[in-house]
Amino acid sequence: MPPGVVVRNLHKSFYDRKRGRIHAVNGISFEAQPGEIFALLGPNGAGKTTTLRILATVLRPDEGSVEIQGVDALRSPEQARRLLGYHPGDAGVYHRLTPREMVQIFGRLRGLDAPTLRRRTQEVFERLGLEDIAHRPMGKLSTGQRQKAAVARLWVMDPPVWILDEPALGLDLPTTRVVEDTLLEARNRGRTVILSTHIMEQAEYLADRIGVIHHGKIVALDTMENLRRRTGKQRLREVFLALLDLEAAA
Amino acid sequence: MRALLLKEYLEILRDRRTLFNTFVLPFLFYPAFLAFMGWVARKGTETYQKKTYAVGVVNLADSLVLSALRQENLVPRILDQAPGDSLPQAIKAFLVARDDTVLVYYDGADEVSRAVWRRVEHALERVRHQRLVSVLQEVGLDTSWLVPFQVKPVNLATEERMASSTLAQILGYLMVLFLFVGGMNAALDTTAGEKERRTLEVLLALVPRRRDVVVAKVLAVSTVSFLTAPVMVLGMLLGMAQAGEAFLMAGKTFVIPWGTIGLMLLLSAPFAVFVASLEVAIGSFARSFREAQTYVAPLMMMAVFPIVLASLPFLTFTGWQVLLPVYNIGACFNELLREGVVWSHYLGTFLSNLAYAGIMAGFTLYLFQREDIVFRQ
Repeated sequence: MPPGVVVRNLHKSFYDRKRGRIHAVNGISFEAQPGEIFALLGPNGAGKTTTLRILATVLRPDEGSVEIQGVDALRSPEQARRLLGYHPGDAGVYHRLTPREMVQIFGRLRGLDAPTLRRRTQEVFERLGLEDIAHRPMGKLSTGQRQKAAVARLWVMDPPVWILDEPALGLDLPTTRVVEDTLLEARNRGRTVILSTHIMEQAEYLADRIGVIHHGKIVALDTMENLRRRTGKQRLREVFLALLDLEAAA
Repeated sequence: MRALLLKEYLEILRDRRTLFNTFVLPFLFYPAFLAFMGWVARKGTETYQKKTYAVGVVNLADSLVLSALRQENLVPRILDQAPGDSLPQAIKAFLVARDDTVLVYYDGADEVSRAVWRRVEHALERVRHQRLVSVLQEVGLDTSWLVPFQVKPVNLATEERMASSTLAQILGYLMVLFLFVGGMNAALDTTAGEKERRTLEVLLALVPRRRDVVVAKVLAVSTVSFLTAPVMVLGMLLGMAQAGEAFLMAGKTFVIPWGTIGLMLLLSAPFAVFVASLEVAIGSFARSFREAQTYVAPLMMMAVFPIVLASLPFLTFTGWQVLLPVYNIGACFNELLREGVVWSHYLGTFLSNLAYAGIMAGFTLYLFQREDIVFRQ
């Protein structure tokens, strides 16, 4: 079985009139396997969102390569899109649609047949506790409910590769728990889950491996245990800061 | 594609701004607004016609003149001297007799003063006529010589044609304008709005071909524009019909043949696609809904100019003008309503709009492929 995601020497820069050329991603490489949760951990502006947008084929890198389950995402983005699902920050939901309508439309766009789509929607809505709000426009839902609806969209499509940008941003503890449980279940079903976060506890709780990203580069990539050993610190927060100090010293 | 279109239509149909623009504005606001404007205009005219105003009179204590002024609802005030650079308070015009001339001072910037000047003119004209009649009678001549013949205009146009002529001037203008306005909100919401809500990137990461996303958006916006423009025009016409003489159409019936309506709608279809593509392109470029609105405002200003030109009755719609975007459809509507269909003009306009729609849709697709445009920072 090919790796879920293979990223090699990814570069991406943007031009800003005031600041000139900005290197948002500067030579990032990593692999994520099926049945693994891989977390990109970094401060704001580190390059997490740009990296995930490239993986989701929304942006094209200046250099480097991305493979989604063995498919070259730069040469065959159409094929790669069939293998991944993307969850942007702020959930990216349609405020005038209901959760059920959104999930149904996205399921159809994914190519699911009507009976499968109905069955999966039913199951997922039950599991996420969305039945009561299934027919309410998402503009009238709370942030947590919208985030759950966005996760339901991903779960119903259930692609081999899940890409999530800050999936628990601004959520309360119970909703965060629901989202995290969904991601753990996806991993257990053999899905490759790549997420970005700046919440240390979440990365620590969920991730099998963590890539610490800073100024567009991965400054450390390992399991939590090995990162602790390397820095001599226990808590991820301390590990993270120690790694940034090491990077600055280098 | 069906799922994409379903998503676009659901979003558009539930957007309160679109519903407001499509139904509330044309059927409630426009009629109410125009009826109010008509009422204000009527009231104003009635007031000017009936109200009594004071006029100053210097060196002109002629009973015939004073009586003529009173007949025009003017109150003469005999004064000693002429005014300076401006009229005194509460006096709207001044008559000063100097040798064989009567100078009438009035304020051209004041609507009431202008109306009073017209009344004074009527009064003096009557005095002049009476004087002539009395002089002729004194020397025993026939006064009918003063009016050697009568002039009586006979309008051959039916009331229906008169109304249609007025209608032709405004209907083409309104239709083209509303084709622009009708889908604007939907276009900006489905592009700049989607960017802002970050739903666009979810869609782009899911739908295999970007072309499908663009086609669905352009089709959805075109449909809204194509359907709402006639509704908005109808609402506006109803409002004008109610508004009174201010719009020259009150109480008059006008009939547009069904064939003409059909031809107008058919001509609107490629133009709606052209406009929708243009608006989707602008929305794709903008970083937010608000930014998109600032780009669309000058576009509207630019579009209004050729539409106004096309509605001018003295401009002739000639062959090569079918190639002028925006102007051509306005002029063609005008021609259809005034003279009926001229097939070479109609087909030329239809085909050139079809070509412009294709070019603009292609340009929109090109913009959508460019991430530095769609994800402009």
